[in-house]
Amino acid sequence: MSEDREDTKIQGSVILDSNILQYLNNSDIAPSLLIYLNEVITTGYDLTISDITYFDLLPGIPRSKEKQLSETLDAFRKFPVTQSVCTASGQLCTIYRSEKSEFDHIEVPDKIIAATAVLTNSLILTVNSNDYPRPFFNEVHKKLIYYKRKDKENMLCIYLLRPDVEHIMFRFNNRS
Amino acid sequence: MNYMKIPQPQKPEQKSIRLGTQTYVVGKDLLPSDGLSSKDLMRELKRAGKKKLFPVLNWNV
Repeated sequence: MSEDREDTKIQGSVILDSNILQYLNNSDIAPSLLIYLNEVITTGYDLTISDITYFDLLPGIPRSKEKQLSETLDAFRKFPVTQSVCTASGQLCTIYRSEKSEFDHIEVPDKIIAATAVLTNSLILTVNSNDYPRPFFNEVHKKLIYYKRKDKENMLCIYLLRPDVEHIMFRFNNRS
Repeated sequence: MNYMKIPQPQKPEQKSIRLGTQTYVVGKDLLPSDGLSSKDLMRELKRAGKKKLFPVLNWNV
């Protein structure tokens, strides 16, 4: 791998949360979401997922769709779930627990994605910013998608989040 | 904050991250696998969405 290519990956990856992929199923939302994903790419980012997304999306999938879903996920650049990622996820849990009980709802796959973003200088794209809480993750962009459903106006908010690595280090290294 | 534009990618502020006894080198310890080009990936996502390949889990979308 050339140094230039490594540098590109370091600078510009966006990790898609599983919920972003799920919204592509919705024909009211998918066209606007695809336009936004294209905008993210043209700004200079790679769209990536974590290997943990397989764990998130495969349960309950009918046999007829399992191969197709795996092939679609295979198409992404994927960050592996390594020992470093698991260790950093555990360390994030430590900070969350010392912070607020409202962080208890955050699922393991979201913590894996969060730690992966921290270790790779990546942004996270999600519809649920509560899974990547402030002050550890900060919004750098927000996209509102308006759509109609059953003659009612609805809105979906998509968040692009950046980990505050300095703050995470400070909180972890100065914990009691 | 400017919500009008997606910010440009930037180099990591920290070249290494120290959490307790662990030190992680940003962009060296963890790299993504290879995948499709952006154009092909978008085509694949469009196709997958149309076929409703992504399971809906805990919320109604």
